[in-house]
Amino acid sequence: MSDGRGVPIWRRDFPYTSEGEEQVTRREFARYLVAASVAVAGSGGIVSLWASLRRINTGTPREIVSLDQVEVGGSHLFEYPGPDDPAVLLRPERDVVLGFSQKCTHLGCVVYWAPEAGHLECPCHEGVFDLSGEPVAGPPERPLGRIEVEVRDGVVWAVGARIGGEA
Amino acid sequence: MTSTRSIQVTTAVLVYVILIFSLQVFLLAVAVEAFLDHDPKLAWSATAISAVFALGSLMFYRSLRRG
Repeated sequence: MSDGRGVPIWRRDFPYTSEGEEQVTRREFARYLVAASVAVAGSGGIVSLWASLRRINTGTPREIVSLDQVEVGGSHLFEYPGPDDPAVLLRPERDVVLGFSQKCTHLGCVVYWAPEAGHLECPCHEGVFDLSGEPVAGPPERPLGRIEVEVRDGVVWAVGARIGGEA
Repeated sequence: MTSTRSIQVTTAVLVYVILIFSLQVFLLAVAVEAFLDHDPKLAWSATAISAVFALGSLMFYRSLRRG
């Protein structure tokens, strides 16, 4: 019960304050913490729901480059599945082509192919990924997104993207 | 319940609730990490455990109110 100004009636009838009455008791603190606990569980639910409902663009098949234009041991940069998704095509051996997302799984920097070392490197924090996309050094803990590629009549095609748990 | 006993029980419950909350913060970090890794199963698992902890936290608090 309170008057029109939000002051409790008991406060109007008993307008005295005591030292420490503004302090939070153990029980009050426990109550706030329990409320925060429920809120954290609810936040987890929102994050999970978002993770379940969002749609991930896995791309549609399209031509990337003629195989002749990628030298053995070299790489070719392209965008896949969308125009804002940098990707790299590798040709470590004559008959092997591999596609990876260039976004480092640590903080999203662009990884590049280091031909002399034979692996992908992230310049930001010196993360290193091997030719299967797995992290082998540095802070990244998740593998690079994989772009499925295949050669059709001498042309390299990207046919789909596999990212994280969706793989 | 005596005053000293009451304070001890309240403090004990508070410690449990703080521990549970710490674990929940960790689980929320796991859920966010799973979100970034496009792994909804892991996110839901972390959330389910967090919800059980929240329920436990509520029950601790209810027992405190009854006591």
